[in-house]
Order: sequence, then C-alpha cells, then structure tokens
Amino acid sequence: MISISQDKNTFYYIHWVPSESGPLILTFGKETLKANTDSNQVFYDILDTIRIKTNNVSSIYSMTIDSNMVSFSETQVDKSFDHFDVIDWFHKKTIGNIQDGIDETFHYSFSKNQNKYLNMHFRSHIKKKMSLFAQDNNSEIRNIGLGIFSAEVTARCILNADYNDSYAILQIGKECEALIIHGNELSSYVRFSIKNKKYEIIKNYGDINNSKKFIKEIELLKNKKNLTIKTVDHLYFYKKQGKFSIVKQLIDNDKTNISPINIFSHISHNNKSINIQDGLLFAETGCSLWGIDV
Amino acid sequence: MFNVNFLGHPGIQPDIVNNYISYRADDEKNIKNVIIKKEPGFFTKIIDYVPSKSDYLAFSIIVVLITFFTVIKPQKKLVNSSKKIVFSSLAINAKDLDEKYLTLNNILDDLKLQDEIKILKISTQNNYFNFKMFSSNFNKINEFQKILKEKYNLNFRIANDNKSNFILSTEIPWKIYNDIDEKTKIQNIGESSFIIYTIQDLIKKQKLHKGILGVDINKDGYYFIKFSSSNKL
Repeated sequence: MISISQDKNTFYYIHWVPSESGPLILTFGKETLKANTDSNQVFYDILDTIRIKTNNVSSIYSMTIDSNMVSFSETQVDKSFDHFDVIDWFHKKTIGNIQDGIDETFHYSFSKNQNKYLNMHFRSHIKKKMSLFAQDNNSEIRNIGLGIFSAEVTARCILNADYNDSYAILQIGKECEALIIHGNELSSYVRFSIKNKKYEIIKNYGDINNSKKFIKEIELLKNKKNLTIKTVDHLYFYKKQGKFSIVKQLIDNDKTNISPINIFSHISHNNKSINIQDGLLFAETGCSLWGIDV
Repeated sequence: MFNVNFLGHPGIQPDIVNNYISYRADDEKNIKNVIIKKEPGFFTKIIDYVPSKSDYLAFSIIVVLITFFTVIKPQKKLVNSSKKIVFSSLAINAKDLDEKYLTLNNILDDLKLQDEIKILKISTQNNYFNFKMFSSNFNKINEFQKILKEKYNLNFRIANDNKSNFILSTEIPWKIYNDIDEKTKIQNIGESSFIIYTIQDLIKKQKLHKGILGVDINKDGYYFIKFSSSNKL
C-alpha cells in the first residue's frame, strides 16, 4: 500500500507491505509539486509521480489531503429536533442538492452532550481526479483522509491512543491544529497560532472551553512552566514543515504523558534511518495501517 | 472517535466508521514481492543494542568481581603457602611407607621364584605404582594371582595380548615426594634379576618413594630401567 499525506505543495509518502513480523516500509520520501502545476491536476500528477518513484504498476493508495483543501462549518442542533432532519434541511437550504453540487458535505458528531456537528465540505473534483488516476493505472484509492484526523487514526493504530479516557492530537506548524478527544468522542477541533509569544485561537469547532484550557497548557509547556499536560490523559504530537522550538522541547520531555507520532519507531523499514523530527512529518501517512496489527 | 474517509457517502457519518478499513486481508494477494523481514545478524544486534540500567549494574558487578580476583587473588596466595609447607616439612607416615615397601619387596621376592612369569612394565606415575607381569602359561599366572591376592589383599587383573601372553597387572596407591637430600639418577639395561635387585635396593635405601620409576622390556628380552629423584618445587 502507498500512503500519501499532503502538506501544502509537499507530499510525503510511505510504501509498505505486510510481512511476517508486521507491516514493513519498503520506501519513503517526499515529492514537491512545482508552483505552476494546474490545481485541477495536482492529485493526479502527484499520484503518478509517486507511482513512478515507487516503481509500482498497480497498487492501493491512501491519500490524506491538507486541511486547507476542505472547508469547515459547525451545526448546532436543538435536542428537540431529529438530527438527520435538521442536517438534511440545513444542507438543502445552504449548500443545495448533493448530486448537483461541486462539494460533498460530511457531518461528524461532536461529543453527545454538545449536540453539535462538524461539517466538512470536500471538493468533488479531488475525488474524481484520484478515481481517474486509479482507473488509468489499474489501481485502487482506498481512503481519502484529512490532515490531523489521519494523524489521530495513526495515534490509535500505533500508539493505542484510544486506550486513554481522554487525549489530544497536536499538529505543530506555522498555524497549529489540535483535536481534543474525551471518552472516545471529539470534544473540539481548534486552529491556533502564536502572536506576541501567546497562543491565540484562529478558529474553533466544538467545545471552546476545552480548547482554551488545552491551548493555555501548551503555552505553559512551551514556556517551560509545565512539564506534563493535565487537561487530557495523553498528548500526541507531530509537525509540519519548518523548524519549531516546541517540537524539540516536547521530544526531550520524554518522561511525561506526551508522545511523538513517529511511525518509524514502531514500524520496520528497509531504508536508511530517519531522525525523529523528520519522522514526525510522516505521521498522517500512518492512517493506512488501520485494521492491521502494528 | 470517527475516521474521516471522503470516499464514502456524504451526509451524517456514523460515530464509528465500521466499514472504514485501510487494509484488507486479501490485499496480500494484490501485492507482489511480499518481503519477509530478515532477522538482523549477530553483530548488527550488538551494534544496535541499547543497554539498560540493569546492564550497567551487571557490568559494574562483573568489573568489581574481576578486580577482586585479579588484584587480591586470595586463592592463589593460599595455594602458594600450602606448597611451601609441603616442601619444607615433608611429612610421611613411616608406617604406611614401610607397609608399602614391604608389600612391594615381597611381591618382587615371590616373582623371583616364578620361572615362567616375568616383569612386563613398571611405572610410578599418576599416583599409582603400576606393576605388570606376563607369562605364556595362563595356569601359572592365574595361580600367582591367587597367591598375591591372598597375601597382600590387592586387586589383580589378567588380560591376554596378541602374542598369546597373559598379562597380570596391579596398582598400588603411590605418592612421590621430593628428594631434598640428594639427586639420584639410574638409567640401565639388564636382565630381570638385575631389575628386581635394583628396585629392592631402592626400597632398602628408602629412595623409591622419592623419584619416578619406569621399567620397560625391549624386543630382545632385556629391560630398561630408569629412576630419577624428584626435586620439583
């Protein structure tokens, strides 16, 4: 299986096969698209480039797209209404008919006490281009995941994150993202950044109080006032392109309830060794391991 | 927690996407060249091995033990001192020695009376006085064995060789002590009677227990006797 994750114009990939001792990564690497690449052709081209690079005639692909490729919204549903009816009504009134639309909307429930849905509006043409590539190359697209949500699947696959009562996934980049999960339900999805040495929320979906508490703790961690995280049982982190001082800080702080999502420290690979900071860039590709023993 | 997969149908997604499986069992059929991970080699395992705290502790204990045995050497000192004691105060139980000399002397006297039985080999190495006689007459050697067994309460064994000779052998526990007084060295060739005389003379002078005795017979029927006193520290 070839698993790919997108970080703006850069695509990270791993090519793994099942082996007697669990999954084995044959190759891994990254490909960067040229700035002048036709935006409609991005996913076809990158799949084809990686197909040539991994020397595969036909294979199974898993793609995780950047969260910037998707639009988000939040729907609050009153307890007295049937959720399906409300969502359907909302959909028809605001987005239009599903079959004729250029977007496909997927509604994911937040934790039950919130009565809220996270709506992801996904461009249909991305799916079409990937399907075309699969058709042309006798291949199969098995999954199209989304940014930090794929990293969360990885954390469950290889780190048993869901064994905790609560946990959070932190994506460190120029703009950070976090998923806070309580009782195996999504509590909040938050985007935030640093301004004047303070973390500020850019956009929050779900329980904002939990997000605020969590971000405050991250701020204390960065300023070395805290060594552990208390709002959740465990924090799993990974990074996007760029250098971020907090990443090294969190890696060095290994005696706490904070773990890096580094697939290379859990899955065998034939290639040369990879340092932990680079390994974190591949966190989202690990979602393709869902369903097998790692 | 849900898994996002935009390949599914839009709309409200179930809490847990049960049909979301990235890997299926039949995928293996579609993947060519399934590689079986090779076990790392012995040296790779050693190079890649990251020692734990207990390894460091075990290593420290080994270092301490080696240091103790190499620097302090308690056992070696003890052995050295006991060697000196044995050499400087040679303690022989005179009664035991006299008994063994008497037995040997009498065996040799008895042998003189046997016309058809001769010495084959004598050796005093390995803490035994190893005495072998031979004869072509089985009845004679068997009778002689019975006499010696009755007189001296020794264990005897009769075997035959490829020349139709019957060999009578016995072993007497024997200890060789250092000769601190003088060096004695005998190397000679002679007949059976001469060999017996030489050995009895060494018994008479109480020298036999102070050296290594070897008697062998050659092809011509002559005996080669060798005795050298032991003065090893």
